[in-house]
Amino acid sequence: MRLDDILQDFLSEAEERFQALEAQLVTLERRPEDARALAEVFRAAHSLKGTCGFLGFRRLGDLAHAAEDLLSQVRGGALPLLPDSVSLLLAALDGMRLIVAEIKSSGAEPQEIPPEEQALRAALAAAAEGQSFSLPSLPIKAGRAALPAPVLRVQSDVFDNLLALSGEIALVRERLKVANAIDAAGAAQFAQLTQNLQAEVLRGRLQPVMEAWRSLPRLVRDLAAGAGLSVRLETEGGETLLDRQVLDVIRDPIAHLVRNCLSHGLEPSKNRRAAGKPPEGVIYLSARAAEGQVVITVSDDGRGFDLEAIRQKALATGIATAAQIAVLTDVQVAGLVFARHFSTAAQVGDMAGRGVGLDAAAAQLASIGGTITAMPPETGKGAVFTMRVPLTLAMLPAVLVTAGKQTFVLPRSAVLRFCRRDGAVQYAGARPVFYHEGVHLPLLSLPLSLEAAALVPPHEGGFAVIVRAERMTAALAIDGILWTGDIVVKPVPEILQDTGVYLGLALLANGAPAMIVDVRRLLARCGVAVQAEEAAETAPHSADMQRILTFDLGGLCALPVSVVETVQRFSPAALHTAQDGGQYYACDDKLLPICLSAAVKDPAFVLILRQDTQRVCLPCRTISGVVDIPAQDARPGSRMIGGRPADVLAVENLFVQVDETSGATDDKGRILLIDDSPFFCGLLTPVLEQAGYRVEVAADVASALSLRDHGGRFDLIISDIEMPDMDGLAFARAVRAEGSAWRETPLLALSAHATRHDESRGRAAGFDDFITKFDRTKLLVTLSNIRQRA
Amino acid sequence: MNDTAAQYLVFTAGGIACAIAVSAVREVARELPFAPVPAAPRGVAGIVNLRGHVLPALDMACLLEGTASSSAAMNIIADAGGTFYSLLVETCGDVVIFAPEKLEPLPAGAPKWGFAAQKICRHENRIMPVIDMKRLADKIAAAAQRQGSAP
Repeated sequence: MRLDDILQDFLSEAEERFQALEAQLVTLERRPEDARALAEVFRAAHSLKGTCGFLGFRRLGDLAHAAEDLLSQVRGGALPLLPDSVSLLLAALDGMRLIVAEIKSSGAEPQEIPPEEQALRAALAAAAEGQSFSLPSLPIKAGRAALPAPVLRVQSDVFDNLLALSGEIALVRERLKVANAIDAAGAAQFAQLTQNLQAEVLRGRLQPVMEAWRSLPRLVRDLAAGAGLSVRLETEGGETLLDRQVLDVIRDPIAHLVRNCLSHGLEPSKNRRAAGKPPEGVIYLSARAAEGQVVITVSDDGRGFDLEAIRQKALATGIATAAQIAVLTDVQVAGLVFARHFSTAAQVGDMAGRGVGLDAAAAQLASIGGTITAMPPETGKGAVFTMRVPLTLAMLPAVLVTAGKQTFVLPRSAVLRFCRRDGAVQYAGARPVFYHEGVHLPLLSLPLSLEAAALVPPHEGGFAVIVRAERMTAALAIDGILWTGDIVVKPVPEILQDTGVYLGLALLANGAPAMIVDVRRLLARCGVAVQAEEAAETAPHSADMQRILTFDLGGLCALPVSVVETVQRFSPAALHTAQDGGQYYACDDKLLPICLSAAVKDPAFVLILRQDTQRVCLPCRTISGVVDIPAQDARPGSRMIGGRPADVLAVENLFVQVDETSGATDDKGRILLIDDSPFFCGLLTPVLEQAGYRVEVAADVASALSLRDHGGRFDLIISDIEMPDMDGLAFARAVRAEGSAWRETPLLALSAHATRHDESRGRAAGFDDFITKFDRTKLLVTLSNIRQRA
Repeated sequence: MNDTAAQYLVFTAGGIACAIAVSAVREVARELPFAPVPAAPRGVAGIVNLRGHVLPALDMACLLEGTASSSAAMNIIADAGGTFYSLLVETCGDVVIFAPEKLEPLPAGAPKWGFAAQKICRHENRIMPVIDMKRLADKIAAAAQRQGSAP
């Protein structure tokens, strides 16, 4: 190893060494009698001195030497290790940091010793003599963030695996050269190898999460000392691995949360004793891996959330209205601390209270698709913050959409639903809105909204993707969905970074590049309103409340909002009567059956109700309003709602009644769709429905077979191949088995990647045809072919 | 041949013949996989995929002439101080050699393409701007920042 290399290594690892030494010093301060901890600190200081001397950094060496002298006195028992001495030793490390920064910028150690370093040396010398000293102040930023190390340390087995993989790829390459074409087995092998290669490279980027909290022991010590608190920091799960890039993003939010524990959570020892707690407060930091994510918690055993103060503050700052706050659960109230400009600290200080901490932390996490929640366990028992971040940013679960002849990538974490747009587009003034599940969402058209930062009316037809980011929800008008899966994220070229609406870009299978839309920033830029809190959204879905629409059918009636698709003004011209006397109402050029048609004379409004694929109309006199009522009161029957007697209608009855008379609709048949991914079912169902099919969804093979055994009959079955428990092939065999009621039903396989080998296996198992997922056109053509054959 | 003379690639964009130092040109490619980028700064048409590297594609017709190009068929992959761009141009022609003294400053009342060039050269009775990649990239970035900071 050349001296230059050693020098470079030393400089790039210096901060890490300083942080390690800091953590050791802080530990030692808490247990001064621990001889082993003292020996470790001494050894670290000694080796630091040696390295500095070896590399010819005289000033660094002198500081390390002075620190070692002081430690040596402590080790020999001549001096006690007082908090002031620890502060001085930490200051010595800061002094060394300053010198290292100078070396990094100028390439050499400047000879001239600045006055603060002189003072530091004098103080260290005095301390080692047992004399009094004053702490020098060094021009180092408080709570400095650790410098991101330019060196990426990779475990050696990663390289071994990479080497092995590249060897195997070379073998495939040679075979390719000889054969001059690739056969199916070769293609499969190649696919597997490249996938392994990708996984291995990603693994190489993983770092232990403790890298993100190395600077915290010192931070906690300094801040606690400054605030007169007695606090200890405990960590667990620091070895959990995380992508380097994610690590860089979470470093500040973690530090913010720890600062927050010190400024808001932990009480002085006196108060703690009075509350029956140990005098020393604990900040507990933990990390664990969970399903492609890493969960990091920061908790303390302090006074916990003052929910009343949070409510007051939220009201005072206008973050939420009294009505909104009234329905919030405790967890939701605690969540308000992440709102912009929220701070309950009575005094603005060094630690917190500027109201920029937690909201900034939440925004930083959101920028990488992470989340943060606050949990008040019990009053007076501390606070828990839970962060969830993706394991890596290099791969992104994504949805590929087309809009205006262009292709865009949406992060799957931002996509809630995918639905047809027809009939649901309305206008609030000039602004287009999309009516979805009882809520009007701003409707943005891609790609125009990227450019114009405005809500632009979309063209007719097509689909809508409901997207959500940081408490903003909107609908994006798109032409269609092409594909969903994991993509490799590439950075946006510098000249395009100011656009501010892209997260990155991706290369598609056909080689074309596509931009990844930053949904959060797009919605913010288009002025999509931020919901005060999750309240507006979660309240009706929460277990104990249900949102209902009340209306007048000659008496007050009610229905769950979830079945109401739209409310329109009743138009007599749209009323049609069939020859058998059945009544229909024309809506979007479709004739919808009218239920309870005798109920109302002279209706003024008509409710379009929807359940699964069925739509019916319910004319009514007036609309009274939308209220949240306890779920048990939302069951069918007579109730007092808002002080008036009302009938909650039985939804099933409205639709069943129609089912018997709905022969006239444009119905191509009933399809059973089996797929374990609710997301995929959500994508495919609207496509099939739009093509005129009625769709029933089963999440797994067992529930599909149970449908069969309970007499369920379908015109066609579409099944995924790869599913947990029982897969599509086993399902096909069960369907085709002797005596199965579905023996003759056409069976279609959907697979993410169907090779010829898969196809032949599928056909042998009993599938009639194979379709690749997201090949929408082929799917619809195949469906109609099969139907004609049948 | 003069030692300090340099080679220049002649190309046309928006009907204007221009020159760019061969030393700044990495390669010339026919059509590359391309995607437009909404909200990109003026003059940046989108992105291209050059064998796995994604580069911003500059619409040279727009930058030189002020009109978006419809007939750009070639990509000149050019280096602006370590950052690569694809220049979308209509045709690529000869490589010509100019001695440094043949490069002249911009004539007074610099036309639109002063944005992209600091020097001109005369070739077959035509005045050609000599594209300065660094200047071009800086100007686009500066314009984008102004655009971005506007409310």
